Amino acid sequence: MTDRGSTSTLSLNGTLSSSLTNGAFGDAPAVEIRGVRKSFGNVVALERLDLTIPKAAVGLLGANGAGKTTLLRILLGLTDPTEGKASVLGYDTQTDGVRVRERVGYMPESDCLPSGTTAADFVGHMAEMSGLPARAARQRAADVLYHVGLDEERYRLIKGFSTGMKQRVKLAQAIVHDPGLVFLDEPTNGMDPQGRDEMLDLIKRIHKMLGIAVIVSSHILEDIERVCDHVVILNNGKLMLSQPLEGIGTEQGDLLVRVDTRHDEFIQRLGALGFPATMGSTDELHGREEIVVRFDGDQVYDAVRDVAAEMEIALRSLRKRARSLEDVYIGEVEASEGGATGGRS
Amino acid sequence: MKKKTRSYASIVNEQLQQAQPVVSLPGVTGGAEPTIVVNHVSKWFGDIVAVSDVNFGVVPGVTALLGPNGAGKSTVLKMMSGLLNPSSGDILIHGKSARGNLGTYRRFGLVHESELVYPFLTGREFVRLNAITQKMKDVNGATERAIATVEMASAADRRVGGYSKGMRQRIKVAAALVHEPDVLLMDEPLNGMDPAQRAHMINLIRELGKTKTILVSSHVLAEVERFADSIIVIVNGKLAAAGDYHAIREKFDDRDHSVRIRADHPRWLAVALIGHPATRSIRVDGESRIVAETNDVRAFYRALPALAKRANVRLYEVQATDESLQSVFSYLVER
Amino acid sequence: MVAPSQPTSFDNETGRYGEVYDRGYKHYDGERLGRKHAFNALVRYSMQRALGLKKKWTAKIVPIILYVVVLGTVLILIGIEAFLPDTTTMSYPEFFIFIFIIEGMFVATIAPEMLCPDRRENVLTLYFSRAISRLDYVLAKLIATGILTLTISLVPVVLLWLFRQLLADSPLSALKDNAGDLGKVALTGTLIALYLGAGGLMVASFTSRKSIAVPIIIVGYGVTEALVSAVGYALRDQSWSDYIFFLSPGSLAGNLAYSFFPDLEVEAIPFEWWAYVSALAITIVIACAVMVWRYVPED
Repeated sequence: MTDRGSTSTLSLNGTLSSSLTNGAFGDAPAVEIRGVRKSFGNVVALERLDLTIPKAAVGLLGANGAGKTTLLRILLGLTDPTEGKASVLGYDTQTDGVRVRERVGYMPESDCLPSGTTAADFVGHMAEMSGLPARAARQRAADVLYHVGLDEERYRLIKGFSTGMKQRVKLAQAIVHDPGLVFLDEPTNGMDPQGRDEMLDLIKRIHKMLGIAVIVSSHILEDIERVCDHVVILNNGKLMLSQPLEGIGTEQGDLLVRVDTRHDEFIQRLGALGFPATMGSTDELHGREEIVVRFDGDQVYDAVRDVAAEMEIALRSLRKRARSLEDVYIGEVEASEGGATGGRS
Repeated sequence: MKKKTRSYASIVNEQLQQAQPVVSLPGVTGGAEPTIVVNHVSKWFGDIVAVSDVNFGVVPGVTALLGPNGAGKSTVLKMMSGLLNPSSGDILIHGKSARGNLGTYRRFGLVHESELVYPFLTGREFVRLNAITQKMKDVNGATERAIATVEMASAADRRVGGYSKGMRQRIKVAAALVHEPDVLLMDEPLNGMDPAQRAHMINLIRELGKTKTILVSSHVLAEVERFADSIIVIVNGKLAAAGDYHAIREKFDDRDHSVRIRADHPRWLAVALIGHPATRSIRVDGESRIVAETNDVRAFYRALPALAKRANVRLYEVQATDESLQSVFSYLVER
Repeated sequence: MVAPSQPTSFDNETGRYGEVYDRGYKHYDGERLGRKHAFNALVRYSMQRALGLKKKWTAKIVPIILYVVVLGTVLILIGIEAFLPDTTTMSYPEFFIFIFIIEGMFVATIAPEMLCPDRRENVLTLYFSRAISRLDYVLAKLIATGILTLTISLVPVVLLWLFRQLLADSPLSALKDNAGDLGKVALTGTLIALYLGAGGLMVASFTSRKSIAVPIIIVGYGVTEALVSAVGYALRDQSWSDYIFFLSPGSLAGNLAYSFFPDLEVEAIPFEWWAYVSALAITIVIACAVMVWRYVPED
């Protein structure tokens, strides 16, 4: 097995040493949705959705009831759209549902682990349920459980597991069969800060080092910002936005500068050089005391640097104000609802 | 020109202000009166010591209660909510012991994780029920105000059983607010809420913190940073830290601070920085960034602009990378 | 055999060689056997869990006892017939009545185990996200249950038949002459297995709690028997009272067995064997349909 050396094992420095990394993960999209509409009687869960999701780490955002769960079930081939077609990794979800599920992993939000088996047994069984031969299934299960952070615990009954351990088992069963795409639904649910940190790292690694496309559905925007490079927002069954995260909100923004002392003088000197600045309001900036300098071109960076150097004060932080993902999300949702976001769901 | 003389009092005041703040009780600085005092509290269940001699105070404003799962945080919160009695030690509310005195919890509002037990009631009925049991004079008014505060007016006539998780949380908050308590204890209040609801709830918590004493337990530290004035951290059944998390970070002086800098010529900057004694190490992080470690933050930040200027390097971004609450927390829970 | 490529870790300067073989998560490049394998894996796994293998001993105890009872009975009967050749032991129909009761207990143990935990702990969500369809899940459970129930009601009776032929004066001709009997007992055994198995599964598919399913299965059969007997007796003078006994599981099975061996009957069996076979078959089909209805439509 190891003389396969080239295509898929990790090389010493941990990066995927194959054609998978060149050109990202290939050019074929992970998911293609064309004209998908889903209604349950009178209730329309999804309205004419047209969307292409790349093989990236994608964040899926939306209020409860926005259609995320329905979309996910359609993509897993568990339910058929009322109209339209969807394909995942090239396979049509309606005609080739089983093939889709062979190649896709799913980490549900809800509790779904049996308490009466050991983690290793259960994950091994799940691997077989995705088509792996028995021996390979056991081996993969043990390996994957180890890599998600469960050592000897993997041979213990799931009954005694903490929330964090259960989340890891859920993740393990989602990737044990080496899928090309994994759906993760609220992966950090119930975990404590360390656990969340580790889980997010794991997800990032699964994507970056192994080339497994990832679709994360989460309400915690900081998690999405940390792990994903593309974001999709749904609201009321409609697509609001689908774009790379990097582009979001970095249009013209002011410069935010933090210094340790003599703020007024700093502001004054900048002004004198032709770079208007003011003290920012703490509410808007989440409690930080930052000076807002208007951005009119890259020279302002040098001005800030030089004034701080002349004054010999500490330049504690420097960043461009960008609309955060939260601003974008709220903007999209409010735009589509024409006002208050409260009360619906 | 008359020379202005200063009074003796003003001189003394100035001196006092410049002196180190007096910490009488962990979590309580200056002369602030704590609303709740957890007074040398321990709790054990049979042989298991869940909480061991924890001692802190909670002042008005928003305090976050943090800690790993299973390390005593929930037990502490339950004892502060009156749901559990300490095995030893005491909980003082406005200076009076709460033991056996359930009346003290009248002024409390609790938002806890357990599921609501009345799924067949509508949202409005549920809040009203609380208003009635709390013997509010103006039951209807209080109910409507509470519902409006959490922006649930349009869904208030639907049954709670049909609510999504986020809606249930909001109605729980309304019920906890209906009797206008001056203390709010909230356990994972943002659980299940979508991003817009979260932003709204964070703002609500900050607003309420201006006039009340709020204790929030949460695992999402990036959000805690936005609403908490101070933190209390429980690790392994003991109080690990209390106070402002920036100040806590400073206390880890055996840890170098990590600063990420994005510049047009990061390696030139690296060369310039490594020559400075405050710089302990430099790491290249991608094409346009370096990460520097320093054990003398002040000196480093002060030297940075001049060094950059001399090296003719334009600075695009300067950010401390381990001063977030997440970093502080991980330092605290490390063994 | 693939020719080895230039080893990257051959250090030309020092002439030393080393290789790192396992540094973490690897992709899986082996075979993928698809839906069929997943289906078979589910059948196998379900059988294991139902019998309590890989679980603590309390889960195994009832199945073990039942197997011991059944096989023990067969051995005792054979023993008696071997050493005391002229004594009459159990006839096949009598044996089936005995088997029926054992099978009932067996199904009450395994059917809930097949279905209830998956539903209760929400593992269905994970199963349905794997390389099978919902119908596959139902079929796999039916087959698993069927195989296990056959081991109680088919295998022992076939063994009994076989041993009896071997004990005869000329075994080879006995085997040939009594092959018809084999067919009859095999059919009866099979139908009983599938009837009770599907019925038990059907009941179990309505609840997520084993503690409810088990008593309902037992009580269900018991109460049906009692009711039908009572009503049948009360209405015995009616011309159509015999039809009532189609509703009683025990009577169906017993009558089927006796209908194959008319010389042994005590009372006249009202209907021909094919009527009973049809009744059992129809019930099995209905039970399966109910199962499909419980699981296949999307929720």
